[in-house]
Amino acid sequence: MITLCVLYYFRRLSWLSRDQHWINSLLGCIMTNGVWEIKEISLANSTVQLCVSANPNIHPQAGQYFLTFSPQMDEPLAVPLFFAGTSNTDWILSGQISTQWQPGTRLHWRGPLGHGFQLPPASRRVALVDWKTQAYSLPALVSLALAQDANVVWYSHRLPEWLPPSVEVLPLESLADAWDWADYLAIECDYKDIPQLVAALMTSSSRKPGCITEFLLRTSLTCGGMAECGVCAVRTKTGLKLACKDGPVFNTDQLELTV
Amino acid sequence: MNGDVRPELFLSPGWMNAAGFLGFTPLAGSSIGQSPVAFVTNPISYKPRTSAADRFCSPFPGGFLLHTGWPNPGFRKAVKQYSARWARSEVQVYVHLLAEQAHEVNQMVRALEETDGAAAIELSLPPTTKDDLRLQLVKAALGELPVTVCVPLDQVNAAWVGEVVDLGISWLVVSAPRGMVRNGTGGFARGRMYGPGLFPQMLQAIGCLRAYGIPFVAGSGVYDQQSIQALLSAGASAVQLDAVLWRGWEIENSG
Repeated sequence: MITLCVLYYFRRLSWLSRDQHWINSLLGCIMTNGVWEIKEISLANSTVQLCVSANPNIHPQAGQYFLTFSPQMDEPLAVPLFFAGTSNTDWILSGQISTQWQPGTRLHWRGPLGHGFQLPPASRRVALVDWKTQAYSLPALVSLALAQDANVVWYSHRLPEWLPPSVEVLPLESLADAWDWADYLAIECDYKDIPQLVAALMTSSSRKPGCITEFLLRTSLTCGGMAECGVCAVRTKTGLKLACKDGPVFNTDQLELTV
Repeated sequence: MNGDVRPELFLSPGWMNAAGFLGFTPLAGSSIGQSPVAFVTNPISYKPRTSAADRFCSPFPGGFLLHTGWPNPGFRKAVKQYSARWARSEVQVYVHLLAEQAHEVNQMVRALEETDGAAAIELSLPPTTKDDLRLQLVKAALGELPVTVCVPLDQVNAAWVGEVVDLGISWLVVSAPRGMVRNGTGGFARGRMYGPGLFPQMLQAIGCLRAYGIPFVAGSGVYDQQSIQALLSAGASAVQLDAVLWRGWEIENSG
């Protein structure tokens, strides 16, 4: 336990941010399970969010997810819920939430699963990109970035009404400018949209990114790493990786990005 | 029956995972709070396979359709990588082989006979193939280890099943049926069907399976403990669980 606490401390320092996957692998052992009761369901910027009691022993990162299911309902698969932030002593979770879930519904969960975003503490110019999705995890990065006095720009195809006034909102058409300005870029997009995204980001696939860039790739997260079933496989420079356990957040240096 | 002595293996009543649902090596615990009676590896092919380019998971009312391409490192690498853990496993390990060519099946099975840790061979046959090729593939697998053959739920009545049974396999396993969904571009996508909506069909198939006169492992659509008990009471020797292992069930009601 002491070793894991030390590892957690090192991860919070984040000076290892780009080479710390071995630490995250060990921290993955902290994954646990339990039961939540949904406190509240709300709609924020077209995204349905859940509010549940935070577990003080777990510290999920933006981009990590929990696999959840309600035993009262006949759902064949667990629903991935992404950590979207905190509110007092509660967690905000986001995902493709069942329409049958109501406040008071019990949810069995396991997690946090996968690798999340690694916002470097030194970053002062943070660009967050909601690439034609309903961003599940980026909201958690907004508060983290603002807490470290970073300037934050949100790129989106829609105007999010919930963003703090200090966050600048820009359209996706101006995304290529992010390279020149940002020192950290976090993107949430469907895996199938990668070619369009890369085309918008770079004039050619060989162009080097100018800042630390991480992608949350939205794909089916069915087994949560239990089976290596391969349905969430993502092309990387070292072959196919599984989004459910090697992701869903990947560094741009890992990914095979082709236009 | 062809008169050959069928290799014996006691099949304990209880649950085991369906191939493809718990990886290549047994886990320390289970998501459903009970210990399995055996562990079935992910499907292993003779040559390495990567995830299918058109992989998908598509829900439908009562279940979901899954197409993955059964990615695996290939037989040689899988044995090298996992056989030590199979040998150390506290539960019996059944190695699931994807049968494509008879000579490949023969090579894989002979190698497994020399490998510690493999208690039985579970064979899945290509989804679209002629009956005589199916028989060749099963014949190639017969040997010192017990051989079990997967029969998709929608094919338990097919003529080839009785012929396979007559070759001297040890038991049958009911596996996921195949289905199609619209793929969003106007076409159709094929995959394996899972989910609680299949359970009534599984229960209905029991009568047919009993008629074959050999043990069988029921599978498909099992999402709660009552379903396991129902299948065992109806004559199944054991039950395979699939996607419920990823989802979990309510352990506190496990009585």
